[in-house]
Amino acid sequence: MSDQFLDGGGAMGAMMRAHPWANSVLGPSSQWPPQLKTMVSIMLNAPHPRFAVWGPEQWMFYNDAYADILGRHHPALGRPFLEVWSEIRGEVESIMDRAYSGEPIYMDDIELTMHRHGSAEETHFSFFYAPVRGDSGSVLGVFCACTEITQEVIAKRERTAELDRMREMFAVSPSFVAVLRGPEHCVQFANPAYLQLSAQRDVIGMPIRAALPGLRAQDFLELLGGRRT
Amino acid sequence: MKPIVVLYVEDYADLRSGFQEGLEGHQPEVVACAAAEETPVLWKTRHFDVLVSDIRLPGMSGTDLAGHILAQHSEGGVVLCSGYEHGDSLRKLGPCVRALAKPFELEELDRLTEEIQMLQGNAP
Repeated sequence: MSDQFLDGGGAMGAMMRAHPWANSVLGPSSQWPPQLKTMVSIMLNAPHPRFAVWGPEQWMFYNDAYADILGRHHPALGRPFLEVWSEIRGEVESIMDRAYSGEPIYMDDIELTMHRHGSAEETHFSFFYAPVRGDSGSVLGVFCACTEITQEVIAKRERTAELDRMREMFAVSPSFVAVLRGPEHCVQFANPAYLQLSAQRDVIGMPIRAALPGLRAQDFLELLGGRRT
Repeated sequence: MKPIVVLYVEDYADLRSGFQEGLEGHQPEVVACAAAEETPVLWKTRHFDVLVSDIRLPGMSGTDLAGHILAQHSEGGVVLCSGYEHGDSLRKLGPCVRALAKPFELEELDRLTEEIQMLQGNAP
């Protein structure tokens, strides 16, 4: 039988070919079950982070993009998944158990404290775990597609905090502040001082000429004309 | 002192993780590898200063591994660990090869890696 399913795959492809599988519980790679061969071949050549676990010990395989996620845990070929990721065992063990019981699992943001660069680090991932079944229907392994979204989550959190700070600043400002948007100059945001000016009516979403009917509309709108966002 | 990167090859998981954790305080980065056969591939993918390997490994021996690495990266440093005495025979593998008798203290390994760094022109 052939080892051609290990062709390509960059550095991890080369590692897979070099690894002494014959000395492992999995045996020579040429004799692996077809499901494992297919899964490994797809995983190795994927441009995005992919890993797979196989067997009751959840022996691990992964591609180049996932090696970056592993950090100092790489190389970990053929090692049990929960041993490699011992620091996040509490979060991922039950998820992997569910996948092994046949449930496909998708999460759009899981927070994990990893030690992949030598110290505790907040990380976020979206991922999909797909159970892989053998001929008898039982789950033999799990194929995992994951995307690290740590930077996006932290950037979003910082943006939200910045917005909250600005809202807080506007809220305590004695001057009236409003943000208007669109050709009709609709009120998108108004601080308490502004709401007082508009007689406390719910002006959010209203065009400015309706929100402040006492306004000398023409002059004011001319002023706003060139300053629309 | 310029931090060095050590590639440590050991087939016993407990020794591997113990070594990695023990050396963390001494060296900023230790990459631990279970299979000697993977090591030449790994050595090509990133920079390592010193290979630290047990001599007795399943499959490829630490001595064969050192020979393989040095044939392609003659500037590489090697520390070979063994439970028995090798005299100076291991030095024949190259100028930056040292033997370390097991069990050893991490300070002994520090001393050897510093010696190798000096020879590599990467003086502390």
